[in-house]
Amino acid sequence: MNGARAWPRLVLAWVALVCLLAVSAISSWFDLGPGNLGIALTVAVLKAGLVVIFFMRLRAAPGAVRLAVLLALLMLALLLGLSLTDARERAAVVSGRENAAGTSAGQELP
Amino acid sequence: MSGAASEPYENAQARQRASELGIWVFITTELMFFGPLFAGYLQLRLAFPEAFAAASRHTLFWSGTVNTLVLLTSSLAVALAGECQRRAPRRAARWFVAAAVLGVVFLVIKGYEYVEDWHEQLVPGLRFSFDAAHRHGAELFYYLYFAFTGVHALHLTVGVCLVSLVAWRLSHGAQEFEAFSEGVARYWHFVDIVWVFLYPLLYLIGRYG
Repeated sequence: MNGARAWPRLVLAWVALVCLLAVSAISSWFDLGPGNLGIALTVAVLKAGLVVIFFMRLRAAPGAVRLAVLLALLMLALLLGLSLTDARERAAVVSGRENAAGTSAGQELP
Repeated sequence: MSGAASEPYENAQARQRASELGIWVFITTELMFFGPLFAGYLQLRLAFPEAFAAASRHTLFWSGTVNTLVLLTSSLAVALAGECQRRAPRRAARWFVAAAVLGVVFLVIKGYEYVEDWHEQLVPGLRFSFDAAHRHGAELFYYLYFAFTGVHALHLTVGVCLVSLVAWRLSHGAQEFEAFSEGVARYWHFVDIVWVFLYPLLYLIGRYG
């Protein structure tokens, strides 16, 4: 049992999480352009990583577990990535159609 | 329980490993459940960037921030409970109770936010009013906001019940309980991680302006 030694590590991970929370909260008060989005999402990924590694102990998990998590993340990336492509292409198709028809109506298509 | 007929596993360690893989696979299915909501957010945010920014400025920044702190702290409590469970089950039970209390605090703050949203007329379909230029996009943002936070609150409510059950059984001297309590702990951390992504997407992006 290394329980006694795990305490400081867990508390340190929590301190890091709170510091990251402060970074994302404070950065949202300033106009950083695309940086706002970049910082917010980077901090979220770092926080999730800290929770997964230190609190959920993924690092010590067997290979099958790590493979399951990796595959799930890959599927999620596919889902988000491909739907992003669809959003961009559809916007281009809709604006192309509008130009061809010579109309500016119906601009708010998702 | 060591009877070979009643247990499909050779020993406690094999059962522990199967349980660990099982809860992780469950968590990945939960990821697939929340994933489409995030994909929907991505699509709509690209379609209505200004409306989403304007709408997110109406969410309660301090409530969201305090709630993030509450959930991160509850995760620490659950992790500390897991660390001392074998040596000191009663102390672990207290940490689990602390996590459950923090979960309830989160839900109370979230409830306060919903009441404020109702007064501010930000509940689409029932009571919604927004400036005409961004009305449609803002309404979609708030549909997503309630879907995300509602489903998350439901998960957290289940988590509070499970964590309370673990605390109760630990304080009553339950034995061979680690597989279940570790599963519950991982589920709790996952619910925390979902909020870690909801917080910037709903409360922070577009805050400036």
